[in-house]
Amino acid sequence: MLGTDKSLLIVVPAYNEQDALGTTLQSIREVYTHVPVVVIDDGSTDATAQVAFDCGVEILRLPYHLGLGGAVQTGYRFAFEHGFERVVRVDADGQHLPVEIPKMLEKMSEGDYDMVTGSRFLEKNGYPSRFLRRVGGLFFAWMLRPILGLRLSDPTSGFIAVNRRTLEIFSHSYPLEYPEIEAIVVLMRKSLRFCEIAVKMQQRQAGRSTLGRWTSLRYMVQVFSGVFVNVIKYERRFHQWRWSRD
Amino acid sequence: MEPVRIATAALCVLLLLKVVLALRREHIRVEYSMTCMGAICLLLGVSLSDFAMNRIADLLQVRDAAVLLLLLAGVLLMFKFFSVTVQVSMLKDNSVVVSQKLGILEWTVERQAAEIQRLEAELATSDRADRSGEAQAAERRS
Repeated sequence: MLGTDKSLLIVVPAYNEQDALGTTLQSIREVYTHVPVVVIDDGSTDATAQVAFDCGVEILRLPYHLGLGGAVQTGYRFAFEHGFERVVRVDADGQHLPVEIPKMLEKMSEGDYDMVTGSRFLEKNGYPSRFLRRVGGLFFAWMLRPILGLRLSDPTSGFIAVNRRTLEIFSHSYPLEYPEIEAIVVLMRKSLRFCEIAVKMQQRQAGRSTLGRWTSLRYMVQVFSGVFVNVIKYERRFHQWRWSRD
Repeated sequence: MEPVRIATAALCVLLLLKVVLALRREHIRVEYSMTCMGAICLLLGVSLSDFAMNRIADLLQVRDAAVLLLLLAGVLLMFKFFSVTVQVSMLKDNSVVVSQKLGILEWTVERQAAEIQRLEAELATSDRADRSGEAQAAERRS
Protein backbone atom coordinates (compact mmCIF):
# COMPACT_ATOMS: atom_id res chain seq x y z
CA MET A 1 0.00 0.00 0.00
CA LEU A 2 1.14 3.54 -0.68
CA GLY A 3 0.02 4.95 2.68
CA THR A 4 -0.40 8.61 3.49
CA ASP A 5 3.27 9.62 3.76
CA LYS A 6 4.16 11.05 0.36
CA SER A 7 7.67 12.20 1.20
CA LEU A 8 9.56 9.42 -0.60
CA LEU A 9 8.93 6.74 -3.21
CA ILE A 10 11.46 4.19 -4.38
CA VAL A 11 11.11 3.24 -8.05
CA VAL A 12 12.65 0.02 -9.32
CA PRO A 13 12.49 -0.41 -13.10
CA ALA A 14 12.81 -4.09 -13.98
CA TYR A 15 13.01 -6.07 -17.20
CA ASN A 16 13.54 -9.81 -16.90
CA GLU A 17 15.26 -9.49 -13.50
CA GLN A 18 13.68 -12.42 -11.67
CA ASP A 19 17.04 -13.59 -10.29
CA ALA A 20 18.26 -10.30 -8.83
CA LEU A 21 15.03 -8.46 -7.99
CA GLY A 22 14.20 -10.36 -4.80
CA THR A 23 17.57 -9.56 -3.18
CA THR A 24 17.35 -5.93 -4.29
CA LEU A 25 13.87 -5.47 -2.78
CA GLN A 26 14.97 -7.23 0.39
CA SER A 27 17.96 -4.90 0.79
CA ILE A 28 15.67 -1.88 0.25
CA ARG A 29 13.33 -3.18 2.96
CA GLU A 30 16.30 -3.55 5.33
CA VAL A 31 16.92 0.20 5.06
CA TYR A 32 13.38 1.47 4.60
CA THR A 33 10.72 -0.71 6.17
CA HIS A 34 7.75 1.57 5.51
CA VAL A 35 8.69 3.60 2.45
CA PRO A 36 6.54 2.61 -0.55
CA VAL A 37 8.41 0.76 -3.29
CA VAL A 38 7.09 0.48 -6.84
CA VAL A 39 8.49 -2.03 -9.29
CA ILE A 40 7.91 -1.09 -12.92
CA ASP A 41 7.67 -4.35 -14.80
CA ASP A 42 8.72 -3.31 -18.29
CA GLY A 43 6.98 -6.11 -20.16
CA SER A 44 9.13 -8.89 -18.63
CA THR A 45 8.71 -12.38 -20.03
CA ASP A 46 10.04 -14.11 -16.90
CA ALA A 47 8.75 -14.19 -13.30
CA THR A 48 9.81 -10.61 -12.44
CA ALA A 49 6.26 -9.53 -11.56
CA GLN A 50 5.72 -12.62 -9.41
CA VAL A 51 8.96 -11.98 -7.48
CA ALA A 52 7.87 -8.38 -6.86
CA PHE A 53 4.42 -9.58 -5.77
CA ASP A 54 5.95 -12.09 -3.35
CA CYS A 55 8.04 -9.30 -1.81
CA GLY A 56 4.85 -7.34 -1.09
CA VAL A 57 5.71 -4.21 -3.06
CA GLU A 58 3.57 -2.30 -5.54
CA ILE A 59 3.83 -3.44 -9.18
CA LEU A 60 3.08 -1.42 -12.28
CA ARG A 61 2.91 -3.67 -15.33
CA LEU A 62 3.54 -2.10 -18.70
CA PRO A 63 1.67 -3.64 -21.64
CA TYR A 64 4.86 -3.95 -23.70
CA HIS A 65 8.59 -3.36 -23.37
CA LEU A 66 9.13 0.43 -23.48
CA GLY A 67 12.83 0.46 -22.68
CA LEU A 68 14.59 1.73 -19.56
CA GLY A 69 13.64 5.39 -20.07
CA GLY A 70 9.98 4.55 -20.65
CA ALA A 71 9.89 2.39 -17.51
CA VAL A 72 11.62 5.01 -15.35
CA GLN A 73 9.31 7.71 -16.68
CA THR A 74 6.30 5.55 -15.74
CA GLY A 75 7.62 5.59 -12.17
CA TYR A 76 8.10 9.35 -12.28
CA ARG A 77 4.65 9.88 -13.75
CA PHE A 78 3.12 7.63 -11.10
CA ALA A 79 4.96 9.47 -8.31
CA PHE A 80 3.98 12.86 -9.66
CA GLU A 81 0.32 11.92 -10.07
CA HIS A 82 0.21 10.49 -6.54
CA GLY A 83 1.78 13.60 -5.01
CA PHE A 84 5.18 12.24 -3.92
CA GLU A 85 7.82 14.79 -2.97
CA ARG A 86 10.95 12.78 -3.79
CA VAL A 87 11.76 9.69 -5.79
CA VAL A 88 14.85 7.51 -5.72
CA ARG A 89 15.48 5.20 -8.64
CA VAL A 90 17.18 1.94 -7.73
CA ASP A 91 18.11 -0.53 -10.46
CA ALA A 92 16.70 -4.04 -10.10
CA ASP A 93 20.02 -5.77 -10.83
CA GLY A 94 21.35 -5.06 -7.33
CA GLN A 95 24.16 -2.66 -8.37
CA HIS A 96 22.80 0.17 -6.26
CA LEU A 97 23.11 -0.14 -2.52
CA PRO A 98 20.02 1.17 -0.70
CA VAL A 99 22.17 2.07 2.34
CA GLU A 100 23.44 5.01 0.22
CA ILE A 101 19.94 6.46 -0.27
CA PRO A 102 19.79 8.43 3.01
CA LYS A 103 23.08 10.12 2.05
CA MET A 104 21.64 11.18 -1.30
CA LEU A 105 18.45 12.52 0.25
CA GLU A 106 20.41 14.40 2.89
CA LYS A 107 22.51 16.04 0.19
CA MET A 108 19.37 16.93 -1.74
CA SER A 109 17.80 18.66 1.28
CA GLU A 110 21.04 20.36 2.32
CA GLY A 111 21.76 22.02 -0.99
CA ASP A 112 18.18 22.32 -2.27
CA TYR A 113 19.20 20.24 -5.27
CA ASP A 114 16.66 19.08 -7.81
CA MET A 115 18.58 15.94 -8.67
CA VAL A 116 21.35 14.04 -6.93
CA THR A 117 23.25 11.27 -8.70
CA GLY A 118 25.29 8.60 -7.00
CA SER A 119 28.73 8.39 -8.61
CA ARG A 120 30.92 5.27 -8.63
CA PHE A 121 34.03 7.13 -9.65
CA LEU A 122 34.00 10.38 -7.68
CA GLU A 123 36.04 8.66 -5.01
CA LYS A 124 38.11 5.54 -5.40
CA ASN A 125 35.98 2.82 -3.87
CA GLY A 126 37.17 -0.22 -5.76
CA TYR A 127 34.20 -0.51 -8.12
CA PRO A 128 35.28 -3.01 -10.77
CA SER A 129 34.29 -1.37 -14.06
CA ARG A 130 34.87 -2.85 -17.50
CA PHE A 131 37.45 -1.04 -19.60
CA LEU A 132 35.06 -0.28 -22.47
CA ARG A 133 32.45 1.13 -20.12
CA ARG A 134 35.03 3.28 -18.37
CA VAL A 135 36.22 4.65 -21.72
CA GLY A 136 32.59 5.37 -22.69
CA GLY A 137 32.03 7.18 -19.41
CA LEU A 138 35.15 9.28 -19.92
CA PHE A 139 34.06 10.12 -23.47
CA PHE A 140 30.66 11.33 -22.28
CA ALA A 141 32.21 13.28 -19.43
CA TRP A 142 34.50 14.96 -21.97
CA MET A 143 31.56 15.62 -24.31
CA LEU A 144 29.38 17.09 -21.57
CA ARG A 145 32.09 19.29 -20.11
CA PRO A 146 31.66 22.25 -22.51
CA ILE A 147 27.87 21.91 -22.35
CA LEU A 148 27.55 21.75 -18.57
CA GLY A 149 30.64 23.78 -17.75
CA LEU A 150 32.03 21.12 -15.43
CA ARG A 151 33.25 17.59 -15.55
CA LEU A 152 31.00 14.72 -14.47
CA SER A 153 32.66 11.71 -12.92
CA ASP A 154 29.88 9.19 -13.65
CA PRO A 155 27.41 10.48 -16.24
CA THR A 156 25.94 7.02 -16.91
CA SER A 157 24.94 6.34 -13.30
CA GLY A 158 21.30 5.37 -12.86
CA PHE A 159 21.32 5.77 -9.07
CA ILE A 160 19.31 8.97 -8.99
CA ALA A 161 17.23 10.93 -6.49
CA VAL A 162 14.89 13.64 -7.76
CA ASN A 163 12.53 16.11 -6.15
CA ARG A 164 9.05 17.19 -7.19
CA ARG A 165 10.27 19.97 -9.50
CA THR A 166 12.28 17.45 -11.48
CA LEU A 167 9.45 14.92 -11.29
CA GLU A 168 7.15 17.40 -12.98
CA ILE A 169 9.60 17.82 -15.87
CA PHE A 170 10.55 14.15 -16.21
CA SER A 171 6.96 12.92 -16.00
CA HIS A 172 6.24 14.91 -19.16
CA SER A 173 9.52 14.60 -21.01
CA TYR A 174 12.10 11.87 -20.55
CA PRO A 175 14.33 10.03 -23.03
CA LEU A 176 13.04 6.58 -23.92
CA GLU A 177 16.32 4.72 -24.21
CA TYR A 178 19.61 5.20 -22.33
CA PRO A 179 18.14 8.14 -20.43
CA GLU A 180 20.75 9.12 -17.82
CA ILE A 181 23.00 11.47 -19.78
CA GLU A 182 20.24 13.11 -21.76
CA ALA A 183 18.26 13.63 -18.54
CA ILE A 184 21.15 15.66 -17.11
CA VAL A 185 21.16 17.87 -20.21
CA VAL A 186 17.36 18.25 -19.96
CA LEU A 187 17.82 19.45 -16.37
CA MET A 188 20.50 21.88 -17.47
CA ARG A 189 18.16 23.18 -20.16
CA LYS A 190 15.52 23.84 -17.51
CA SER A 191 18.09 25.51 -15.20
CA LEU A 192 17.56 23.08 -12.33
CA ARG A 193 20.17 22.26 -9.69
CA PHE A 194 22.11 19.04 -9.91
CA CYS A 195 24.98 17.42 -8.05
CA GLU A 196 26.93 14.19 -7.82
CA ILE A 197 27.92 12.47 -4.62
CA ALA A 198 30.26 9.55 -4.12
CA VAL A 199 28.52 6.26 -3.44
CA LYS A 200 29.52 2.64 -3.29
CA MET A 201 28.09 0.27 -5.86
CA GLN A 202 28.53 -3.40 -6.54
CA GLN A 203 28.46 -5.56 -9.64
CA ARG A 204 25.05 -6.72 -10.85
CA GLN A 205 23.90 -9.64 -8.73
CA ALA A 206 22.42 -11.79 -11.50
CA GLY A 207 21.50 -11.74 -15.17
CA ARG A 208 23.34 -10.02 -18.00
CA SER A 209 23.80 -6.39 -18.91
CA THR A 210 21.82 -5.29 -21.95
CA LEU A 211 24.91 -3.49 -23.29
CA GLY A 212 26.82 -5.69 -25.70
CA ARG A 213 29.33 -4.63 -28.38
CA TRP A 214 26.77 -3.39 -30.90
CA THR A 215 24.33 -2.03 -28.36
CA SER A 216 27.22 -0.05 -26.84
CA LEU A 217 27.78 1.56 -30.22
CA ARG A 218 24.07 2.27 -30.55
CA TYR A 219 24.14 3.68 -27.01
CA MET A 220 26.93 6.08 -27.97
CA VAL A 221 25.15 7.27 -31.13
CA GLN A 222 21.79 7.62 -29.39
CA VAL A 223 23.16 9.52 -26.42
CA PHE A 224 25.24 11.76 -28.66
CA SER A 225 22.15 12.56 -30.78
CA GLY A 226 20.04 13.16 -27.67
CA VAL A 227 22.56 15.58 -26.22
CA PHE A 228 22.89 17.36 -29.57
CA VAL A 229 19.10 17.79 -29.86
CA ASN A 230 18.87 19.09 -26.30
CA VAL A 231 21.62 21.61 -26.95
CA ILE A 232 19.64 22.81 -29.99
CA LYS A 233 16.53 23.11 -27.81
CA TYR A 234 18.40 25.11 -25.18
CA GLU A 235 16.28 27.99 -23.92
CA ARG A 236 18.29 30.00 -21.44
CA ARG A 237 21.82 31.16 -20.99
CA PHE A 238 24.41 28.71 -19.74
CA HIS A 239 25.36 30.77 -16.74
CA GLN A 240 21.98 30.08 -15.17
CA TRP A 241 23.08 26.50 -14.75
CA ARG A 242 24.12 26.26 -11.17
CA TRP A 243 26.36 23.46 -10.37
CA SER A 244 27.84 21.91 -7.34
CA ARG A 245 29.74 18.82 -6.53
CA ASP A 246 30.85 17.11 -3.40
CA MET B 1 8.41 15.14 -75.59
CA GLU B 2 11.18 12.93 -74.12
CA PRO B 3 10.19 9.39 -73.09
CA VAL B 4 11.29 10.08 -69.48
CA ARG B 5 8.74 12.89 -69.26
CA ILE B 6 5.98 10.69 -70.65
CA ALA B 7 6.90 7.93 -68.20
CA THR B 8 6.90 10.38 -65.29
CA ALA B 9 3.53 11.78 -66.33
CA ALA B 10 2.08 8.28 -66.64
CA LEU B 11 3.43 7.32 -63.19
CA CYS B 12 2.00 10.53 -61.73
CA VAL B 13 -1.44 9.76 -63.17
CA LEU B 14 -1.25 6.24 -61.71
CA LEU B 15 -0.23 7.58 -58.31
CA LEU B 16 -2.98 10.16 -58.45
CA LEU B 17 -5.53 7.44 -59.13
CA LYS B 18 -4.13 5.42 -56.25
CA VAL B 19 -4.49 8.35 -53.84
CA VAL B 20 -8.04 9.02 -55.02
CA LEU B 21 -8.92 5.34 -54.58
CA ALA B 22 -7.34 5.34 -51.11
CA LEU B 23 -9.36 8.43 -50.26
CA ARG B 24 -12.57 6.69 -51.27
CA ARG B 25 -11.95 3.19 -49.94
CA GLU B 26 -9.32 3.30 -47.18
CA HIS B 27 -8.87 5.33 -44.07
CA ILE B 28 -6.43 8.05 -44.98
CA ARG B 29 -6.56 11.45 -43.36
CA VAL B 30 -7.49 14.37 -45.63
CA GLU B 31 -4.37 16.45 -44.90
CA TYR B 32 -1.97 13.63 -45.82
CA SER B 33 -3.82 12.67 -48.98
CA MET B 34 -4.00 16.31 -50.06
CA THR B 35 -0.24 16.88 -49.60
CA CYS B 36 0.38 13.71 -51.63
CA MET B 37 -1.95 14.86 -54.37
CA GLY B 38 -0.37 18.31 -54.37
CA ALA B 39 3.13 16.86 -54.79
CA ILE B 40 2.01 14.49 -57.56
CA CYS B 41 0.15 17.27 -59.41
CA LEU B 42 3.24 19.46 -59.20
CA LEU B 43 5.43 16.74 -60.68
CA LEU B 44 2.82 15.97 -63.34
CA GLY B 45 2.55 19.65 -64.28
CA VAL B 46 6.32 20.02 -64.58
CA SER B 47 6.70 16.85 -66.66
CA LEU B 48 3.94 17.91 -69.08
CA SER B 49 4.76 21.60 -69.44
CA ASP B 50 7.69 22.64 -71.67
CA PHE B 51 7.60 26.12 -70.18
CA ALA B 52 7.88 24.90 -66.56
CA MET B 53 10.60 22.40 -67.48
CA ASN B 54 12.66 25.03 -69.25
CA ARG B 55 12.27 27.60 -66.47
CA ILE B 56 13.32 25.16 -63.74
CA ALA B 57 16.12 23.76 -65.92
CA ASP B 58 17.42 27.30 -66.43
CA LEU B 59 17.15 28.11 -62.76
CA LEU B 60 18.96 24.96 -61.62
CA GLN B 61 21.21 24.86 -64.69
CA VAL B 62 20.32 21.23 -65.35
CA ARG B 63 20.07 20.36 -69.04
CA ASP B 64 19.03 16.73 -68.75
CA ALA B 65 15.24 16.22 -68.38
CA ALA B 66 15.67 12.88 -66.61
CA VAL B 67 18.04 14.32 -64.01
CA LEU B 68 15.77 17.30 -63.45
CA LEU B 69 12.68 15.16 -62.93
CA LEU B 70 14.57 12.83 -60.60
CA LEU B 71 15.79 15.82 -58.62
CA LEU B 72 12.29 17.21 -58.29
CA ALA B 73 10.82 13.85 -57.35
CA GLY B 74 13.60 13.34 -54.79
CA VAL B 75 12.99 16.70 -53.17
CA LEU B 76 9.23 16.12 -52.99
CA LEU B 77 9.85 12.65 -51.57
CA MET B 78 12.14 14.07 -48.88
CA PHE B 79 9.49 16.58 -47.82
CA LYS B 80 6.87 13.85 -47.66
CA PHE B 81 9.27 11.54 -45.81
CA PHE B 82 9.95 14.26 -43.26
CA SER B 83 6.25 14.81 -42.60
CA VAL B 84 5.78 11.03 -42.20
CA THR B 85 8.72 10.95 -39.75
CA VAL B 86 7.09 13.68 -37.67
CA GLN B 87 3.83 11.72 -37.61
CA VAL B 88 5.59 8.47 -36.66
CA SER B 89 7.47 10.24 -33.82
CA MET B 90 4.21 11.66 -32.54
CA LEU B 91 2.54 8.26 -32.75
CA LYS B 92 5.41 6.61 -30.86
CA ASP B 93 5.33 9.27 -28.12
CA ASN B 94 1.56 8.92 -27.80
CA SER B 95 1.79 5.15 -27.69
CA VAL B 96 4.36 5.36 -24.85
CA VAL B 97 2.16 7.77 -22.87
CA VAL B 98 -0.89 5.53 -23.39
CA SER B 99 1.07 2.45 -22.23
CA GLN B 100 2.31 4.27 -19.13
CA LYS B 101 -1.17 5.54 -18.29
CA LEU B 102 -2.58 2.07 -18.88
CA GLY B 103 -0.05 0.61 -16.42
CA ILE B 104 -0.98 3.19 -13.79
CA LEU B 105 -4.71 2.71 -14.45
CA GLU B 106 -4.40 -1.05 -14.10
CA TRP B 107 -2.67 -0.55 -10.76
CA THR B 108 -5.45 1.83 -9.61
CA VAL B 109 -8.20 -0.59 -10.66
CA GLU B 110 -6.46 -3.52 -8.91
CA ARG B 111 -6.09 -1.43 -5.73
CA GLN B 112 -9.74 -0.44 -5.82
CA ALA B 113 -10.85 -4.02 -6.48
CA ALA B 114 -8.79 -5.17 -3.47
CA GLU B 115 -10.31 -2.39 -1.35
CA ILE B 116 -13.84 -3.38 -2.42
CA GLN B 117 -13.09 -7.02 -1.57
CA ARG B 118 -11.80 -5.99 1.85
CA LEU B 119 -14.88 -3.86 2.54
CA GLU B 120 -17.20 -6.65 1.40
CA ALA B 121 -15.44 -9.12 3.69
CA GLU B 122 -15.74 -6.66 6.59
CA LEU B 123 -19.41 -6.13 5.83
CA ALA B 124 -20.04 -9.87 5.66
CA THR B 125 -18.30 -10.38 9.02
CA SER B 126 -20.28 -7.65 10.72
CA ASP B 127 -23.47 -8.96 9.08
CA ARG B 128 -22.79 -12.42 10.47
CA ALA B 129 -22.08 -10.97 13.89
CA ASP B 130 -25.35 -8.99 13.77
CA ARG B 131 -27.34 -12.06 12.74
CA SER B 132 -25.85 -14.28 15.44
CA GLY B 133 -26.50 -11.50 17.99
CA GLU B 134 -30.10 -11.29 16.86
CA ALA B 135 -30.48 -15.08 17.02
CA GLN B 136 -29.07 -15.15 20.55
CA ALA B 137 -31.43 -12.36 21.60
CA ALA B 138 -34.38 -14.24 20.08
CA GLU B 139 -33.35 -17.41 21.92
CA ARG B 140 -33.13 -15.50 25.19
CA ARG B 141 -36.55 -13.99 24.60
CA SER B 142 -38.13 -17.38 23.87
